Amino acid sequence: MNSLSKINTIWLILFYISFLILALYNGFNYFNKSVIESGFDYIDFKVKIGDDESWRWSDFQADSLLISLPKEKGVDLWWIRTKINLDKTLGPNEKYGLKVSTSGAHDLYFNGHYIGSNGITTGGPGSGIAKIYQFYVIPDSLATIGVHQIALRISSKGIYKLHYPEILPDEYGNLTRKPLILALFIHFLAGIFLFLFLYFIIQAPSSETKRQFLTFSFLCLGLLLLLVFEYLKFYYQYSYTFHVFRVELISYLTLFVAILLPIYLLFHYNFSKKRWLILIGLILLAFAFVLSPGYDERAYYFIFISFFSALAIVGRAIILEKERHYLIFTGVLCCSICLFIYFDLTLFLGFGIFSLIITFHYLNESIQEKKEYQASLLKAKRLEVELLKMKLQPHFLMNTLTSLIDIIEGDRHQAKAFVISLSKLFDIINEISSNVSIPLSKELDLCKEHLKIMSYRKNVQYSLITKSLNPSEQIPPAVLLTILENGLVHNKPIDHKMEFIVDFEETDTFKKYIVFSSGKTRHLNKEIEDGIGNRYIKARLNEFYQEGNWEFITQKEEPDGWFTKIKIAKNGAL
Amino acid sequence: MKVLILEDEARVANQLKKLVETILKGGDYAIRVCFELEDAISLIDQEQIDLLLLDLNLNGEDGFEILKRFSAESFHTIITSSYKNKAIEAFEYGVLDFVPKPFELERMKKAFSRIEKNQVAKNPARYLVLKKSLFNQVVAIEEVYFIEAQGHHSILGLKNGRKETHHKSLGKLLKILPHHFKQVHRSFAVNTQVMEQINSFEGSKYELLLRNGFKVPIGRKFYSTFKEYFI
Repeated sequence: MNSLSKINTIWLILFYISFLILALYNGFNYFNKSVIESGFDYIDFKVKIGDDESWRWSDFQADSLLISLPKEKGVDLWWIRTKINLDKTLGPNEKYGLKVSTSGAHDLYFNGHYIGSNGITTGGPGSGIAKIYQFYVIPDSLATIGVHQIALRISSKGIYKLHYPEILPDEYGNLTRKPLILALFIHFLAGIFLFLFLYFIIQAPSSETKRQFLTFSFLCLGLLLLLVFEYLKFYYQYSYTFHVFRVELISYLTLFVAILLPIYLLFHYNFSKKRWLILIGLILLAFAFVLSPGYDERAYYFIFISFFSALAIVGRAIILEKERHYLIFTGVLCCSICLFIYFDLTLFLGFGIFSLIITFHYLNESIQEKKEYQASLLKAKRLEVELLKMKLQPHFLMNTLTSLIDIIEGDRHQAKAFVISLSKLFDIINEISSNVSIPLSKELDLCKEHLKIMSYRKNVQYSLITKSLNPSEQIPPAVLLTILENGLVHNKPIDHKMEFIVDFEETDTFKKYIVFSSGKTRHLNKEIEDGIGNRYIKARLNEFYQEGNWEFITQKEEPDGWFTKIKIAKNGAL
Repeated sequence: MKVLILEDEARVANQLKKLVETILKGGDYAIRVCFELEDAISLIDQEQIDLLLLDLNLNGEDGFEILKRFSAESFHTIITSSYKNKAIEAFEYGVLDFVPKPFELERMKKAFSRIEKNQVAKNPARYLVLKKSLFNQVVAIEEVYFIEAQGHHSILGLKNGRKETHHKSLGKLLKILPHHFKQVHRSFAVNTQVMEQINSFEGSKYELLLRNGFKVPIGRKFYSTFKEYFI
C-alpha cells in the first residue's frame, strides 16, 4: 500500500467513525424525546380511567384527570380531554374537520357536543373494535375561531397498550386530500421498486452475477412491500387488530431489507468470509430486535446496523481494490438520510436513490462489457487476418513461386514435393486461422511444412527437434511458427544448416516453452525491436492466456543462437 | 558486363542468374551472386561492377537503406522485389528499373535494354545520393543545376553554388534523371528549368547562364536546340 492510499484509508476510517457517532447521537436524541414533545400539540391534556358522561363538558373540573397514560392493559373505558386551537379563517364553502386516530373505538365530543364515533364504546359484543382513522366534520355553529375543548371516550377492550390519540384539526378537504398527495409520490417510488424487482429477477438466471441480481431484486421487492404496507393507511381504513399485524409485518420487512442490503453488497464485492460477517450482522440485528422498546426504534436500529455494515463493505472495497467504487459508496450514503431526517419517507427516498445508482452501475457495466466483447471480437478477426496475411504477403508468396519456377526447371520430383508441402501449409493455415488455440501437434506440423518450404527456397537444411512435448497441449496458433520465422530472418545458417529445438518445462506454478534457434546472429549491433512478428505473438498470448499470465523472453545465447521462452502461469498471475 | 545479384534466397538467385545468362549470352559478361549484404559490400569495394540486381527484402534489413547506399555508386541498379507497391519509391532513388517476382524473361530483357539503348528510366529519380566518407548525402533533383562529365564520374553543380562528385557517369545519370535535364555540351548537361539566358561570344562561342550564376558552355551542335528555349 502506498502512502497516498494509506492517507485515503485513514480519512475513510475517520469519516466512518464520526458518521457512526453522529448517527448514534441523533438516534438517541430522537427516541429520548417524550412522546408528547415529539407528537401533537396538546393543550391541557388530561386522561382519566373509567367512564362518566359528565367528563365531556368543558366546564368540568379537570383536576381529577391524570396527566399521563396509565400502564395497565386491557382498560375498557377511559377518557381523554384536550384543547385545540382553530386559527384559520375558512372560505365560504369550507368546513373544519378533525382527523382522530385511537387504538380502539371512541366517541368524539366537541365543546361537550357529541360529534360522532368510529365504533362501539358502550361495552358488550363488538366494543372496542373500530377503524383506526376517522375523519369528522365539525358543525359550523361550533367551529368558531379560538380554543375549543375536545373530549374522547375510548374503549380499549382487548388492546394490550394504551396509546396517545392523534387529533388533527384542519379544513376538511385538506385533511382528507393531504395523505393522497403523499400517496401519489409513494406510488411513484413503488413503481420504481416494482420495475427494478422484475427487471433484475428476469435478468438473474442468464446473468453471470446471478446472486447479486437475485439479492438486489429481492431487496427491491422488500422495499416495495414495505412501502405498500407502510402507506396502506392512506387508502385502507383498518381496525386496530389489523394495525398491529401491519406494524409487525413492517417490522419484519424492515428486517428483511436491513439484512439484504449488506448481503447484496457482500455478493457485489465478492467477500471471502461471507458467512462470518452475515452471522455477526444477524446477531446485531437480533439484539436490536430484542432490546428496542418500540417498533419505530426497532426499525431505526435495523436500518442503522444495515447501513453501517453496508458502508463498511464498500469502504473496504475502496481501500483494498483501489478501484472507483465511489458511485456505489454515494448510493449507500443515500441510505443514511433516514437516520438523520424523520425516519419514514426518507427511508424509501434514500433506498430509492441507492437502487437507481445500482441500476445505473449495472447498465454501465453491461455497456462496458458489450464494448469489450466487440473489441475482443474485432481483435480476434484482426489476428486471423494477420495470420492469413503472413502467408499471403508478397515476400512469402512471390519468393515461393519464383523458387517453384526454379525447382520445376531443375527437378520434377522435387517440384512435386515442394507443391505438396505448400498445399499442406496452406491447408493448416486455413484450418487454424480462426482458432484461439490449437493442439501443439498441429502447430508442429505447420512449423515442419514451413521449414521444408524454406529448405527448398534457401538451400539450407533446416531441422526441427522437439523434446518432452505433449502433442495434445493447447497453444495459440502460429506462435511457434513466428518464433521460427524470427530465427530464419535474424540468424545466418552455418554450413547450410540450421536447427530449431523446442523444449517444454513444467512446475506446479508454471509451464514453459523454450525454443532455441541456432545460427550466427545477423544484426549484431542492431537493437532488436518489436516487429510485426513479436507483436503478433504477444497479441495471441494475450488472447489465449490473458494479460499478466504469461512472459515472453528472447535472449542471445553465446556463441551461436537465440533462446525464446514463453512462460505461462498455471494458476493466477506470474 | 559485370552483374552482381544480391538476393537472400538461393532459388530466386538461381533464377535471376539463369535469366541474366540468357539475356547476355554471346556477350562478355560475369555474374556474381551474394546472399548476404555484407558480402555484397565487400565485393563492391574490391571489384568494379556495372549492374546490381537488388532484392529489397533482404533478411529483415531495410531495403531502402541499402538502396540509398548503392544508388550513390557508379553502377546502375535494377530492383527485383515482390513488393510492387514499393516501385515508385525505389525509382525516386534513381534505379533503372523495377522487375517484380516471379520474373519473366521479356520483362527482364526490357530492363536490360535500358542500359544498352539511349533510353531513360520509366520513372525518373527524385533524389541523387552522393557518396561520402561517413554518411551518404541525399540531394533532391531540383537542387541539381548542371552536371559535368569527369572521367567515369561526374560533377554536380548544385543550387547553393557548391559542386559535388557523383560516382555515376554523365551518361548513366541522364538515364535516370527527368526529361528536363538536357545535354548542352559533349561533357555538360543542364537543368532546363533554371536557365536564365544565353551569352554569345566571338567565334560562335556560347554559354548558358543559370539562375544562381553558374555558367555552362554550349556545344556547337546543341546551340540550335537551346536557342529555342529563349524564343
